[in-house]
Amino acid sequence: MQSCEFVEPMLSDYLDGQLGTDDEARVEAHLAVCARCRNLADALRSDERALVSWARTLTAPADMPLRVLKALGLSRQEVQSRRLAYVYFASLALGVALVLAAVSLPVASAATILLHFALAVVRALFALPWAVHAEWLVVLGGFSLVMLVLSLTGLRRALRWTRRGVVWR
Amino acid sequence: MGRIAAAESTARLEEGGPTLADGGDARLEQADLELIRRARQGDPQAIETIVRNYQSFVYRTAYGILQNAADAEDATQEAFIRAFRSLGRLREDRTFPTWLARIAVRISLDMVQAKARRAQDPTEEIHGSVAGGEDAASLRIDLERALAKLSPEHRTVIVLRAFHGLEYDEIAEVLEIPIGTVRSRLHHARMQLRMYLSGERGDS
Ligand SMILES: [Zn+2]
Repeated sequence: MQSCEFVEPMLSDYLDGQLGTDDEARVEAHLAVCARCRNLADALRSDERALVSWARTLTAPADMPLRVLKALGLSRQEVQSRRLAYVYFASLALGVALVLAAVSLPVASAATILLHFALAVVRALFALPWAVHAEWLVVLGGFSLVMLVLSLTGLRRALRWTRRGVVWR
Repeated sequence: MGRIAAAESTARLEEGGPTLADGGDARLEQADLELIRRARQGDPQAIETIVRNYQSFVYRTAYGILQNAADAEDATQEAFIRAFRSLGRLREDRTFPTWLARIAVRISLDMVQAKARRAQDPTEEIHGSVAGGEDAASLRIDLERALAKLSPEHRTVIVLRAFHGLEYDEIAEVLEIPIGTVRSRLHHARMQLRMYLSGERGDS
């Protein structure tokens, strides 16, 4: 027959099934005859149950994945915004190249443009001032400037709009 | 996922038996390892899935240690950010759950210390919505009060063992302490919690 002082420090291990068979048998023999230690063991058991059921009521905020992605700079919105910017600048470069090609080859067919596209872009850079009359050059420049401002404003708005969205996926 | 990811305690006490019914396998499956590999390359979808799988585990750990929802949310977010930023330094992918738990515990304990330096009474920090009926609510408040009186170290072992049902060797690994220390710390934490709870509820 073990004393309470001997058994009490073993209860925690006992409840976790951490005791060897001999010690476990000793604790069980004591619990069978000692109401005080039995009550303590029961109370410890119910504490554990209470902790488990309480823990289950604790839930992380549903937007935690989004928060983490945002903090890492990887949210879908940010990735989309970046992609939109790439597309915009690629289109801008293509547009500029096409305008230059058209200026250097005003009456060429589509096939010719395709064939001489790369060459034309380079040549256009030099040919531009002589290709058209100065007045038209000014009109073209002004028109391009207006289009550039308009598209930049549009891009800014589109970026702000995609960033404001909080729905991931 | 392993026990940590599932965050569903397998505590044997729930079944009423004296021994832990250990059905869970702490090792990660191939799909989990693949997710970690993709997350390391910055794949947002993999990161999102990992956060979803582990957020309960991390949040409950943080809440148990910090005892308040706002701090627990901050600690959870911070733990994931730190984990993904330093994922390149994790050598063995299979240890991810233990490693993440270690980060979560460390951040939570640091926050507790920072708060203690600002000299706040932890018992005044108890708030948050209460789930369940009248009895469940009062039990929960008793539990929170009693837990708040424990030292952060004692709260931590209670959380890892009771909340998550981790084995002693797993707790030892997360906290980087000897298994004997886990054993004695858990014993003292439980006895103290019992003492405070019997004081709160007025039973023996
Ligand atoms: Zn006894």
